[in-house]
Amino acid sequence: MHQESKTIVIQEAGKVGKGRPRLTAARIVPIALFIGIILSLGLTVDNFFTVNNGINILMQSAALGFMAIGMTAVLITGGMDLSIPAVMALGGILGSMYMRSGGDPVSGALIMIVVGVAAGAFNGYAVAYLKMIPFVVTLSTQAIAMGACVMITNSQSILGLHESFIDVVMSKVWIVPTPVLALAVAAAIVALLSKKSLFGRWLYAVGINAEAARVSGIPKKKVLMGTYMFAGLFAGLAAIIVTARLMSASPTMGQEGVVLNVMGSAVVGGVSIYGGSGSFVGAVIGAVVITLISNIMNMAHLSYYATLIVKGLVIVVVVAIDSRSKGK
Amino acid sequence: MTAPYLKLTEISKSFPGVKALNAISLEAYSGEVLGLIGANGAGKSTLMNVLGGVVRMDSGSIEIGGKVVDIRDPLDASARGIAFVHQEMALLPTMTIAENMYIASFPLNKVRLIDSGKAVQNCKEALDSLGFSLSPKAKIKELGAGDRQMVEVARALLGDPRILIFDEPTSSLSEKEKNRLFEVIRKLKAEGKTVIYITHFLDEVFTLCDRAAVLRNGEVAGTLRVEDMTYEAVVKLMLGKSELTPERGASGARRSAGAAVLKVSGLCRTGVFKDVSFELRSGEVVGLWGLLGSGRTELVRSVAGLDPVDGGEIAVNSGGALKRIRPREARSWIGLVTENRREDGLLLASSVRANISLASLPDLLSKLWPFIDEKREKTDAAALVKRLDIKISDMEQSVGTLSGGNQQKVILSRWLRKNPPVLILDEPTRGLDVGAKGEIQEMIVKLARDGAAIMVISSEIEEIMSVSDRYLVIDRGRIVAELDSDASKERLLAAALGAGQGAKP
Repeated sequence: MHQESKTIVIQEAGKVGKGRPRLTAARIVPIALFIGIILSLGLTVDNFFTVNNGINILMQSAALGFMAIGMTAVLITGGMDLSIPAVMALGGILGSMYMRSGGDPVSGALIMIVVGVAAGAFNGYAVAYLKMIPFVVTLSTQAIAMGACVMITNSQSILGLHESFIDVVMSKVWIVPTPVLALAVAAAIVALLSKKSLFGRWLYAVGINAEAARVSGIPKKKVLMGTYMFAGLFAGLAAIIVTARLMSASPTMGQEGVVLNVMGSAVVGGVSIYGGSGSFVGAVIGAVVITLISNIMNMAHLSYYATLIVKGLVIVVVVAIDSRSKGK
Repeated sequence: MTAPYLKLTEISKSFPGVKALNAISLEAYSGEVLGLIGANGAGKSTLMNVLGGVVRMDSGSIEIGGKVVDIRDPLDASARGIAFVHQEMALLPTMTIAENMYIASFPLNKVRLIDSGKAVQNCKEALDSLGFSLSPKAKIKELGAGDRQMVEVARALLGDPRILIFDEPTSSLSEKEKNRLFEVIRKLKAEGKTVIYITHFLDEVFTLCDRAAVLRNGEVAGTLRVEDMTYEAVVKLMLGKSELTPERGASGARRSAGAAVLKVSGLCRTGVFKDVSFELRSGEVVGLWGLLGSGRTELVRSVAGLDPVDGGEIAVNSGGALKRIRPREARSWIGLVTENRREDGLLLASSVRANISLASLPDLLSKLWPFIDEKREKTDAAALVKRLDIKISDMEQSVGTLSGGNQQKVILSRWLRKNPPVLILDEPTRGLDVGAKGEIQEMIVKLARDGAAIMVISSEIEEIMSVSDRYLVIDRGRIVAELDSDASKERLLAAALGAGQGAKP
């Protein structure tokens, strides 16, 4: 029964005419995975199909979704940014320390954003102008940011955030938590800009063929620089949500498992690690899928390390499908 | 005279749709250097690939030292004493000279491990015998082009070959390094080896070779002793008798050129091109004529602001007067259609529409929003598709699915959409069928007639003659001649081959 319905989906995808982006296996897998997980959860877990539970999962996906949006932009250029979670943690810690010392919450949030953008500018400059490999640059940035986090905090959590900060960020619009709403709005705006704005069009062009883009007069270096700064901005936005939800900041916010989640969200969402293709909305859906995987494994009382194995395998499988469909 | 050491008889080879070699017969003697000359596509590479065992001939025979041999693969070729010194240097940069020389055949010690002492020793001897004093332990990446070439020669000599084939070995060498290489080749000749020397440069043939064979369209057009050789004679052989009369192609009478749109003065890039000056005027097509490896592509990439320059000035016409610009800014004034459209021209996976608008997205921004005006993008692209008669089924069709000719038209449309004052086309019809070729050539002429300033590079002399109003001839990074539209084929070819600046008239 299940098998049959899947085949139909794929056949129909094949029929989609020229022009429209074809539904490749890489796009179908996350959707199938998503539906599969929801169904199996719904059948095994009591009260799964409740509004509350749905909102809960979305709430847990919000920060991850922001980071996945940033990662997606970088992946589209053909690069990657491993420093996003660490930068998010550093921004969260610095902003929280500012608030703990009596600073106002708006400035605190701004600090988180500025730290993210600054780290992104560092990455972007190294990649675009010094022509360094994104993997090396962002791995180093990640190490620097993590080191700074631990040194600054002595591995302690920063508590005592401004209450109004937590209240505003964790508020609800009707029954929808603000972070979820914010993610939805951000994803919609970014998706629109990616298709219609000058920068968005340049972003994809650089990812599809950087040299052809350069020959056509597209400022490739500026596009790369801007992309990493964009990723930093979204790391900063994620920091606001994470610190408010945890009501504290600590270096563990940026631990290695988070990079896996961010990367996983993007690739499960159909973003190609070879650059040039992928959608931001897909990445956000990917973030929800990854959160669901974590959740279901939690409920099955599997350890954190078991979830790492599963998520690692999911990423490898999706990337393998992507590679095959590209004939690489 | 003694019998030839290498004797090729009636060798033919066809590839689908092309007769690459047509009954080629050629002889080479021990102790001689035989030059092999021919335009691109004349069959030089195919012939050498047959000798090297890379491709099998369809018919014909190869005799070495009086015995008929069958060369099935490259190992066979080296077993028969044939060795190559390639134009592309196939060395591993992070390894040492000794490691590179013995990479395929390291001397082993008793326990079957690499005997590096012996490798270094052997390497030292091999280098010494060439009169070449460098440490075998030096890394390849630390060596200059000339030294690398010597390592290639030394490696080729390892198996003590009797026949050595040099494929354009001097393309990246300085004058001094070139002379040293010639010394080595003369030494090999004195040792009785048979040397086949492939080159574009006639002056090298004059200084080095004993005889030269000229290939044309897969046939031997003629073999000349160097004493009897002149530029005129070689050019005649390269062009063939039927094509001797100068002909004017589609462009017809000379068009009247307008004001200077681009002025390049004293442009230099170390080791690539030197002291290049020229003007482009609106309404004219200038053919940049030079052989492969003459620096023509490198020059236009720098003029178009894609690659750096080390000196010189670029000025463009801005509001009636020539204004000096920084070389990097040239990209906004000059459109370049690159020679390899699939590599650095098209976004293959993207739509026809997106490919056409690619260079002019900032002009397509809506006045109300920071968004691209997709309606205008689409109508503009559709107008160009119609104007250039591009065969597509849908504006959203991906460019990768189009034929070569239509792909090239998409790139042309991209620049027409942006409409820069200067357009440079590098091999605009490469790989296209005859019909598409003609269409593109007509389009180039028409664009100039409408006031564009155009520069065209082509490997095909007929093509460059059919579109150009005048010619700049480039040879080894220098503009060596400026010729009028009435220049004959012979004159053009002789100029590109180095007549007038070579050793012999």
